[in-house]
Parts: sequence; C-alpha cells; structure tokens
Amino acid sequence: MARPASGRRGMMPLARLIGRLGGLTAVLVGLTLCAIVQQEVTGRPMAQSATQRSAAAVQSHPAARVSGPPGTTPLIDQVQATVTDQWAELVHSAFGVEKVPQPDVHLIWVDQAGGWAFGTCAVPPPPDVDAMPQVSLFVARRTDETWRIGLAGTEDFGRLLRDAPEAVIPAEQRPLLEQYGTAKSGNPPKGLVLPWHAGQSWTVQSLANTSGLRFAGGDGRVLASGPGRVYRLCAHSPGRGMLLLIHPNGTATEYYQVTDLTRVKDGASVRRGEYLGQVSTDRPCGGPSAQGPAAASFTLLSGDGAVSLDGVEIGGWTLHTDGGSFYADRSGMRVESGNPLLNFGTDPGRSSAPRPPAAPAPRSS
Amino acid sequence: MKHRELSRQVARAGPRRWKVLRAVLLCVILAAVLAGGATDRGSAVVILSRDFLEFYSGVFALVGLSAVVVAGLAASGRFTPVRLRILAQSGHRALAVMSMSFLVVHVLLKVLEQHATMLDVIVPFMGGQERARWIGLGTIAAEMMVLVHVGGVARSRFIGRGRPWAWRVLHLIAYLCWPVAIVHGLNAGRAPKDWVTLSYVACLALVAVAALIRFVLWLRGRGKVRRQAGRVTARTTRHVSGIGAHGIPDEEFWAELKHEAQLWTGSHR
Repeated sequence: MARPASGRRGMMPLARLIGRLGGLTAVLVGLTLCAIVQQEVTGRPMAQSATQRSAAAVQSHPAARVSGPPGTTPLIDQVQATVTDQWAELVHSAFGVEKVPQPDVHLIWVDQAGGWAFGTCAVPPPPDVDAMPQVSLFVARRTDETWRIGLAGTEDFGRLLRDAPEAVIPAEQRPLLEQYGTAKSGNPPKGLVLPWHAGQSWTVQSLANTSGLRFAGGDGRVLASGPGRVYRLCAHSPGRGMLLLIHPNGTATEYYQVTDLTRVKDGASVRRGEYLGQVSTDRPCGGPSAQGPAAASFTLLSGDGAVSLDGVEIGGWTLHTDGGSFYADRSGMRVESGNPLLNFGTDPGRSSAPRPPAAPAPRSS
Repeated sequence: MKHRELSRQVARAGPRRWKVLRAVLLCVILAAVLAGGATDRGSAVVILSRDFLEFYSGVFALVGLSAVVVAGLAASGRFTPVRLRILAQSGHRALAVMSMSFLVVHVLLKVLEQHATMLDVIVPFMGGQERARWIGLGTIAAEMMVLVHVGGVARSRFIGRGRPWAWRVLHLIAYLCWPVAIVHGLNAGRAPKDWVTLSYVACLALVAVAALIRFVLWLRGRGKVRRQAGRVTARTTRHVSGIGAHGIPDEEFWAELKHEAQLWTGSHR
C-alpha cells in the first residue's frame, strides 16, 4: 500500500508527542497550583516599595474573611470602625436603622513600610431594606501603631491625598480624586450619555429608597456614561463588584447589579461609551438579594453623598425625580417611569436619527 | 542475538535513569517556582495566573472533558481508520490528563476562593450556598470523572484478570458524568454566552448520535458472536468471547492493524 513519505514512520511518534504534551501541561498546571497554594499559605508578601497594585486587596466581608497580608487586619478594622463611627447619621437617614451594618473594605494599594493605604469601603443595606449601598473611598496614614483614616468628603481625605506618596496614589489620579473628595452635591457633570448603546431603548425606573435609576433592556451591556476613572468596590472576585466612575468635575456615576465587569485596573481611565459590565442581579456588597429580572442600578455621587438626579441632563434627556415619581423629557417628548427610553447617544439636538458610538470590542466569556 | 539482548538491556536501563532524572528535574523546578513565587515580581505573576485560573480552569476542565469524550469515542469507533484511532487514543489520554489537572485546580481554587467548602468537595448539595444545587452537580461530576480517570489509568489491571466488562461499565460512567458536568458548568458560574451554550448542546447531540451508532454496532456485533458461537463447540466459544465480548473484529481490521504495527516496528514479517 502506497503511503506518503511522512506516514512511513507510522503514527507512533506523533502519538507519543501528544501524550507528552498532555503530561507537560499537567505538570505546568501543577507547578502553578503549588505556587498559588504556597502564596495562600504564607500570605502575600508586601512589597516594600508598594509596587503591587490591586494585588493587596483584602476582603473583610464577614462571610469571606481570608488571611490578608500581615499587618493589614488592624487597618481594615480601623477603617470599619471609622466608617461605622462617621456614617452613623448617614446610614440612619439612608437605611432607617441605628446599627451600621459591617462595612466592606478593600485595599487598592498598601505601602506597608511607608504606612500609606488607599482603598474603597461600602456599607451594605440591612437585609430588610432594598437600597443601594453607601460607598466611599479612603486614604489612610499610619502613625505609630494607629492608622488615620480620611474618608472621601472629609477634610482629612484631601489632606492625606496631597501628602500621599506617588506610589500609593499615582499623580494622574490625584486631581480627579481631589475633585471627588470636595465636590458638593448638586453639581451634575455635563455631557453624560445614557449608559447603554446609542439607538437602543431600555426601560428605566426610579430606585426605591435611593436617588437613582434602575434600567434594563437591549443587549444588557452597560457602558460608561462619560469619561473618567473607574474604581471597583466590593471586589470579592474578578469581574464582580460595584463600579464607581469618577468624572473630570469630581462627580461620579455609580453602577451596581452589573456582572462580568471590565477588567481594567482600579483608577484606570475609561472613555465615554466604554464597556463596563452586563446587567445582572448580582449584589456583591451584600444586603437583600435582588428581585426580578436583571437590571443595573445607576446613581450620581460625589464625595459627600448622593447627588439628586432631578433636573440632570443625560444624553439630551432631562430627568425628573421630584416627589417620588420619575419621568424624562426631551424637546417635548415625555417618557414615564417603566417605559422604554431611547438613547440618542451624544446628540443633544432634536434629530431623531441615533448615531451609534464606536462599539467596544465584544468580550468573550 | 547478543546485540539484541544488549540493546534490550540498554532500553530497560534507559527509561529508569530517565525517570530518576526527570523526578530530580521536577523537584528542582518546583523549588525554583516556589522560590520565585516569594519574590515581588514572582508573586505578582502568581496573582495574575491565579486570577486567570480562577476564571478559566473550570472552563478548561469542561472543554477538556468534552474533547476527551469525543476523542475516546473516535478511538473506539469501528468506523475510524486504525491510524487515526491510534492518534485519537493518545489524544484521549493526553486530554484526560490535562482536564484532570484543570479539574484539581478548579476545585482547589473554588475552595480557596470560598465559593465552595471542603465539604462540597466530597458531599454534594451540602454547601448551603445560593447555587448549592448547581455546585452539587459539579461535585457529582468531579467524583465520577475521578472514578473514570482512575479506572482508565488502571485499565490493564481489569483486562489482565479477564474482567473487561467491569472496566467497560466503569468507563461508561463517563457518558453520565459529562452531561452532568455540562449542566454544572452552564449554571454554577457566570452566565454563559449563547454561543457557548449552543456549542455544548451541539457537542452533546453529536456525541449522542455517535454513541448510539456505537451501541447499535455493538448490539449487532453481539448478535453475530451468538450466531457464530452456536456453530462451534463450547470450548472454542469461551475462546472467542475472550477475544472480544465486543463483537468479533473483522478481517479487514486485523489486516490494517497488522500493517500499522509493521510500520512501527519496522519488521515486515
């Protein structure tokens, strides 16, 4: 029987090669696993120069406390104590409870040697209150054995922000964070667009108990409402959490109940219309689990608290949330709560032809 | 003659020396990896690879398992040419090893990540998570997968003792394990994209058809054995069923196999 020259040797060498490849892969995977287990057991080494970014994320959620880098537990505890102490009034007015639920604290960056830390904190609503978590950023400075915590919106935050070394908070993030920390309520940013693909109509409702919106529809892809820098809160696992997008004037938009989040690092800059996540029912910060179909929550925020959406102009629509009812209007058109709202994109005029922005590359799972 | 004995000895001594060398090499690499993981840059790499594996090891284990099933089916199929069957067989084994390694990583990382508990590894449906139902399916699938894999590795022990049927039944569990694993994979974690779901459904359908064909062929082959067995004496019946309870391989198959074997050994007798 005539066979090609290469087939002369039969299939055995190739078969052996395949077998070796399988073994090699298994060995490599095993070695990686050994390294991971070693890191888990010995704890993540804290870089003296604080070169590890996001890597130092420490979970403090009661259900998921893991061993963090040595020396950060007092810091986490202290941030929790500070938040519990300073936000008692805020939490009471937002959730109607006296006892502040345990805050969820994550460190974005720690410089253990220099005694600096930068992170996020979120207070989930109690199990029986359907509301958005209260969130903030903080900068911490260690003096002797105690940490001084500056929560966004306080004077300490601005002071610590100015003193913090470049390694902990990179220069390009500072102006924005400073703006965020000092922005006063009632200062909505200009030029925001609705956070979904232009040309799609999504149903929009006002959130219960919080000044914010809940929306769902179309392809379910939540996009950045404007340019800014993004921070992830309640970051228990990759791709999950709440996104805080701080815009250049210091006001932030907040996106919750989104999953499959963009994998950019904390503090990375995003463009308007960039992919942020997918609508879902995921509430990684805690509190009551979401009811009904997947829908993202959206609020405006500044360092010192929630910003009312009433009168805010987004993508040519003016939002009205006065007196508990919600509607949006645009040059004579009026859309009530629960009805589909068409995203005209960045076009502020009265042309009804939607102009889709550049679509971000589709993400594969 | 002497030369042949000598070369056989060398061949026997070679692998053993290789094995020792390989074990030593592996230990050295392991030590290097552990030492490297303790440095700043190394730990960043480890964190990155952990993130990657947390996200993808389950996917790889499931895709690997699917490929193992397909390769195994191809390797056992009478309709596949012998040369391809040999490739499919080695692919089947290599993929099985890979997918087992990813399964181990997946389970361990999910426990470390606190998405599952140590109890979940052994007992299904007891973790009490929000998705305990789907995670429990994963436990069941993983246990079956380990069972089938161990059975596959220890195949010669079953065959040598005249109990090929025990091995076959054990290995057939794979057909139960795989759909359970797919259901787990599609429901326990992040929501799959539509094309992912569709791919798995298509794969399931194809394998179902192929397995059905295999089953029908087996039934027909068995009928043939029975009919032939009726014609020969009782002693030879035992002999025949010893060759293959799976049906008698036809002449063409043996001829092809012989030819292939000649190609490897280089002999033309």
